[in-house]
Amino acid sequence: MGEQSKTIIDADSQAYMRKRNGTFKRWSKLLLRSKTGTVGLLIVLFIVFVAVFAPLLAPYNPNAINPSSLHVPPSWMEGGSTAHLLGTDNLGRDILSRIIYGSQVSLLVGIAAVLLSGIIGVSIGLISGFYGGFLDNILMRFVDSFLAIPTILFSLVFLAVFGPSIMTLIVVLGLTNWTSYARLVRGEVLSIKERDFVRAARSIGVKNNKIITRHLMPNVISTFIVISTLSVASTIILESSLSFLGLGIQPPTVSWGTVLSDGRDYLATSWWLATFPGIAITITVLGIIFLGDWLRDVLDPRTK
Amino acid sequence: MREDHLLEVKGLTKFFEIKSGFLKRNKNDLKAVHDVSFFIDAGETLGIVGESGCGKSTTGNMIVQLLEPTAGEIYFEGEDITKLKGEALRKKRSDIQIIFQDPYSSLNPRMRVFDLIAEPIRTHESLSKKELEERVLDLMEVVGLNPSYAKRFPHEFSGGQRQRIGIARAIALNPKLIVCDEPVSALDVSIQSQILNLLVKLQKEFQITYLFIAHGLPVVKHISDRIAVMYLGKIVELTTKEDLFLKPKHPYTEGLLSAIPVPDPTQRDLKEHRVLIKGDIPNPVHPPSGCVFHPRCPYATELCTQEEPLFEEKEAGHFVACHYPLSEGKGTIYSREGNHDGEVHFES
Amino acid sequence: MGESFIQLKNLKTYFHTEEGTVPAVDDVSLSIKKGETLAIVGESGSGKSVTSLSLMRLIEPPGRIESGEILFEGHNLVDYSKKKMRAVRGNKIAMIFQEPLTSLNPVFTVGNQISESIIEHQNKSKKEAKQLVIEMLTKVGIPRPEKVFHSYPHALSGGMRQRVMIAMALSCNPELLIADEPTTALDVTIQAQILTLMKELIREFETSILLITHDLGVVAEMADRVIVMYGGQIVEETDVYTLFKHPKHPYTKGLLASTPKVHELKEELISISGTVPNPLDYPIGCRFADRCESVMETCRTVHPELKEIKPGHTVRCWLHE
Repeated sequence: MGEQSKTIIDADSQAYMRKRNGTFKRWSKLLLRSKTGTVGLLIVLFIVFVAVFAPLLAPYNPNAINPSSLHVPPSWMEGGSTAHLLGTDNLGRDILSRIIYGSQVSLLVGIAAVLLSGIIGVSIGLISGFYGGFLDNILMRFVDSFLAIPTILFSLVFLAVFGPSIMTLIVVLGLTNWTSYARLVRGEVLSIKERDFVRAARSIGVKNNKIITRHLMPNVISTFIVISTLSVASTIILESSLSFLGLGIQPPTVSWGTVLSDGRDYLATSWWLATFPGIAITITVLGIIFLGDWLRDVLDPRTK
Repeated sequence: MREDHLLEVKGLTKFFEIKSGFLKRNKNDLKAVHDVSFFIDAGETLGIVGESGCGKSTTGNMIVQLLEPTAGEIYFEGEDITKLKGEALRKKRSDIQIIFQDPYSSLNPRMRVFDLIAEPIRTHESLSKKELEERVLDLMEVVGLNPSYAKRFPHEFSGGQRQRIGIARAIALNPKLIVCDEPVSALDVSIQSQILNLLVKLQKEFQITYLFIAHGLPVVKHISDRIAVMYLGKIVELTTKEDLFLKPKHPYTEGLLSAIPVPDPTQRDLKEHRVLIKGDIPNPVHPPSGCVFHPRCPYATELCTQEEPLFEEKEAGHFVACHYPLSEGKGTIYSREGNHDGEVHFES
Repeated sequence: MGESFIQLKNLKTYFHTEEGTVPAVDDVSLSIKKGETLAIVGESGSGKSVTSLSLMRLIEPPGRIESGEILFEGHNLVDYSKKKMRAVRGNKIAMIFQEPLTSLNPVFTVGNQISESIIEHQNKSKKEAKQLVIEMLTKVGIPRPEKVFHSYPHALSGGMRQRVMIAMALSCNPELLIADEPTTALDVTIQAQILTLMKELIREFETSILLITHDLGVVAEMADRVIVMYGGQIVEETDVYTLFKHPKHPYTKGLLASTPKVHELKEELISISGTVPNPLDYPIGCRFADRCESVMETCRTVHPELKEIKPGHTVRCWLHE
């Protein structure tokens, strides 16, 4: 070995570094191949951009009340004005500005809640599936009993006790969702741990925590990512419905849910109040779902 | 227990509980391995041969401690390793390694070759990054893999190359014993011989002892010093390779030998007179009474259906479990030696 | 043995995958005579199975028969409609597969499935069909055929299932039986039973057989003529005795040498170095060149053609020009 092997690994690590750049190329190649993936990525990038630069993008303060222009319809309708592209609400607030600001809270809550439930759910699923037996029984019965509590009831009680805020909203949404991850990951782990490569790791004497982190986790994580993108979507909707019920985001903070719920009373007369935040939610959710689908393919080393 | 055997297995038994019926109230035992005893000396290769469901893989898995025996002891260098637990067991694992049958499922698809081969070393030793690199690349060369492939994923390799990765992992810790669990069954013929030759080369180079499990005699013949034949969870015959092929004593061994298709068309008419083992392998949940082989045995008598034959040393080093062991030369393929060279030439 | 009744002429079956085109069967011509057993030997990826599937027109996208003819009783099967092809399949050409469990439908009884093809192809009543099935099951050596008739496939052992498959294939008295690795999934004692059974049945039914296998032992025991395939092409074709006694192609020689022989106490095991070339990117020269011990300059640059070196013995190799 010695000298020769060093040159080999040098040459190889160069090749590897080239491959690192190649990784980016591979991703972009895969992205271009999948149309839905491209659309999804563009949508998500756009929403993130909007959320980050909301103060610069929004034409008005989202909470600025303007009694002189109440219920102004969108600009292209009769009576609309270019000053308020998507119209104004019952207090004369600019809908477009409210949606732009709302994206901040909706994305934050959606992503943070999913991460929280993911961390809880994946950990419990991994432990339960890997160790099995008594521990598995206890954990899964716990999951079952958690599933038996109605989500809305749990959220109502929790928010009533701790008071509605972005933080409690994230926690409550995170706590309602983790059970599905736990069950899903446990199921995956049960099948993966019987695969030969896990038995091979055990025969080598790899410690349990290493088996979990190096062998089980990378192989369940792609399933997790797909499901979690779906549930970022459902969490945004759930946040909207809690806000709709008046339990979510409290004024003056704006989220898509609050904009939507503010508009519910005026559906018959001023449809645009509830429609545009609804469209924003729908587009975002679609974008995330498309992106998640594509990510699953990319994360598999077998796809080139 | 003789200290000089590297491995000695005594009364090794594994039952799997099968639950069936309403509310799973019927419990039955699948007798995968039933009272198996043998030893392996350092540096030799013991082949274990048998058809599906005979318990050969279960035996191998118990020796590498992937399965817990229902009963029996496994002495490795004089120490009963079935008693080992926790950290002591984990340490011991570096001495006894396994090569799996399926080179596709035995490698984590999300790890690179380098990390796959480094894993056992990282687990048991703490080396500097550079030392580790050298060790891994060295191992790759030893098993005949191009070291420049170190950063590839397993799916980029063919079956034979993947099996080489598996072998590199197995020898990474300089183990004393390697259980080869049908390492070539999933490979093409031309690749099988490459892998077998590699295993033989490694054995000479690193003084490794093999327990070589296979479902067919042709493969074990090449690599083994002694061969054990298993049937329905029991060893029915165990002896040196030469004795097993030249003078098998158990009718099952004889049948196995004559069932192998000979790669020589001039032999095919002679083959018509071979001993054909009739029937199917019985269900191991309800093995036959007496000798487990009696329903398929051409020589079975009343005694065979009632009394289980003992696994005894009939000649020096030649163990058989049969009431009526075959006498020398009877029914073996080599008794036709006269025709073997082929007087007949089929020129076109 | 009579004249050849089925012929493949310059058959090409390609698979159009995302990464490129795989020439799985690349210009294969062969013929099978009445009553003869022709074996195609090769390792995985050699194209032996795709050849037989092409013959049955069972190629699914992304695979496609690109060109060539399959002549059977004076007709070109490549031009047949799906409906006409169905009348041929299972009736005049039958097939048995490696894994009998996946080729039997788990929700119907064994008897039900065999009768079905008899009723469809032979215009027999249900009762007649049942009688015939029981007769066939007896012929393939199934004990208590009445009981097996009413059992489901999963209740049978692997050997029994393969016997059922053979009974099913022979029930319509086909002219050609394609056996794709018929004993590979079976234990060796069961394999011996099935091979013996097949030999008896060939004699009785006078069926021609196209045997696809990787096992030279099985070839030596069953075949009359042998085709060796490598990289989607035929590399050698001759009668079985010549192939084992005087193989010409280095690949055939290598295969023979690397087959473990139980019946000789010889020690060394010769292996062919390297691996099968990537089918997406075959070399311009001989496809075996990289693994060949006798490789020459020409082998790497010019693709060898199949040449008849003696009557009935063809080889694709520059050594035998």
